[in-house]
Amino acid sequence: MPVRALCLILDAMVLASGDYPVHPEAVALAGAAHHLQAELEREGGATLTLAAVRDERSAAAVAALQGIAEREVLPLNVEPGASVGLADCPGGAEMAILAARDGKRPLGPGTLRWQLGDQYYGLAETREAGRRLREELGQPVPRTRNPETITGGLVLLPAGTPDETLLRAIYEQPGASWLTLGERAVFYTENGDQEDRLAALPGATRLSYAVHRHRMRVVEGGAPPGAELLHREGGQALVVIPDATDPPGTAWEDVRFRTVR
Amino acid sequence: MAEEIVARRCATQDLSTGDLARMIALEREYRSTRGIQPAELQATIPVYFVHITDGALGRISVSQRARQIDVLNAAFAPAGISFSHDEGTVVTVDDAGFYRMGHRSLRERQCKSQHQAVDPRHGLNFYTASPGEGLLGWATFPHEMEGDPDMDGVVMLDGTLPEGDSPPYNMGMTAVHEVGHWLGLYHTFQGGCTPLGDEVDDTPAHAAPNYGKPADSQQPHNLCPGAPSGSLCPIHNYMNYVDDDWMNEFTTGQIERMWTQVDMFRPGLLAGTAEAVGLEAVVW
Repeated sequence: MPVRALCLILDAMVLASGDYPVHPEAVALAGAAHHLQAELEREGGATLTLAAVRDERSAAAVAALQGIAEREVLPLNVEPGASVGLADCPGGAEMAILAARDGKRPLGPGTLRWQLGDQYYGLAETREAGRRLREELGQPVPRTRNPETITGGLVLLPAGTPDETLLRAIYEQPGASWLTLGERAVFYTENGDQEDRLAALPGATRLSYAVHRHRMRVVEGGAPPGAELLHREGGQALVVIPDATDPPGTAWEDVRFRTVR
Repeated sequence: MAEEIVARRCATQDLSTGDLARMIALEREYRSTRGIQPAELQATIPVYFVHITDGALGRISVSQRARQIDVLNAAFAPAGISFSHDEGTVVTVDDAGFYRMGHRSLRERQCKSQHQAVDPRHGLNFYTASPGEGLLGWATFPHEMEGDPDMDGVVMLDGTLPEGDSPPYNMGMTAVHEVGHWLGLYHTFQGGCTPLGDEVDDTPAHAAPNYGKPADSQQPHNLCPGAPSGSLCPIHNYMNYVDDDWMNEFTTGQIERMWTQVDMFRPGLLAGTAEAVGLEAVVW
């Protein structure tokens, strides 16, 4: 049932797992929530609060997220394994959603779980968060093209690009992503302005103006027959494949936010 | 019927705009007490096209408008809803900024505030533009109209109208989909597998949008595990995201919901109501 006031809570392991000060998926969720929050404040109709579970595992990640986010991330001091839910959110919220990596943490009353990666009862991809939040708040959702037909730009960033630069870019465009090949991050974005800004960084190289995210694969060695080589680093190559029933290598979605050597 | 509508109007006034939690209970109560019979209802909705252009970009032909109305009429005929259009009311606004307005952007509000063509209580403001970012179109819900009438209507990527340049989305079905929202329908995948879904009983819940042309032979696709036995994923429903040529149905439950929503929140669209009698659509 759509509600007028929603509280999105990021669980500790959504925030703290991974190779970065705060997990990029948590940053994407925060970005999606804050963009919608700003829209709701401007257009009215509903309210959205973003909170983050702060315990001994996630305290540093919460601080990192607060440093990146341009709006409030409400810290919730919750012990590991303790329940969390609507009662932990500010007054006025009618429902809470806990974004979690598993189903372990007990939920308080009035709380729904979004298990990341669960296509049925969770959130299959963080890039869907904006749509799902709109649905929970009864807000209009635009019809979109088939994601498999949408192309984005690909930018090879210089070695040593700060984590904060990457994380801020994800916060700005929650549908963006990157992977690190060797020492350099390859950044994918469907926003032309962001692509131009990143490509203008000293030492950055634009690899493609229009690439299909679903067709990008990481393969060992060189490009297989029929594939287009985008970038090679060490023994790994990033390629674009034509439509194929048995594609080689590993899909972009399975290695995003990771380092491949 | 007129007496019943007067009773309903009181309910409308009691409902604060956007009070979604109460809306569901109110709708159930309304259906049980009114016993609405969609098959007996008829309405003709006047459509007012507002084409936002950037020079030659975004221009829509007479033929495209006529074919779009034909597509809407065919899709909504089972619901007893038809659409009319007068070429003399077409508005064209040449503004490069408005042409690229984003969903719920300041540009959208400015554009609609300045160029709304018809009082939204009595007709459909049908905007065309080129929003970018993969967006094909969007709509406002009926319950939003009372509190924010300026924003009411549908916005369509210009290339989605029949003969447009956005295959496989150029058969006019984006307008059918968005008008479905404008008449109160949610997506069939609303809320994924968590209750209450799209609040329609005969559209089984499914986890996420379907795109392209999902095969009938590969059912149940992403139907939720708790769906009733024998259910099929609604891959041909207008309120899914499949290709235009794959959409061809509203369910009985959706038709009932549309009528209930119209009766509750858009009573001025109903022929024979006090608002509509002797009143042509009020053009600004």
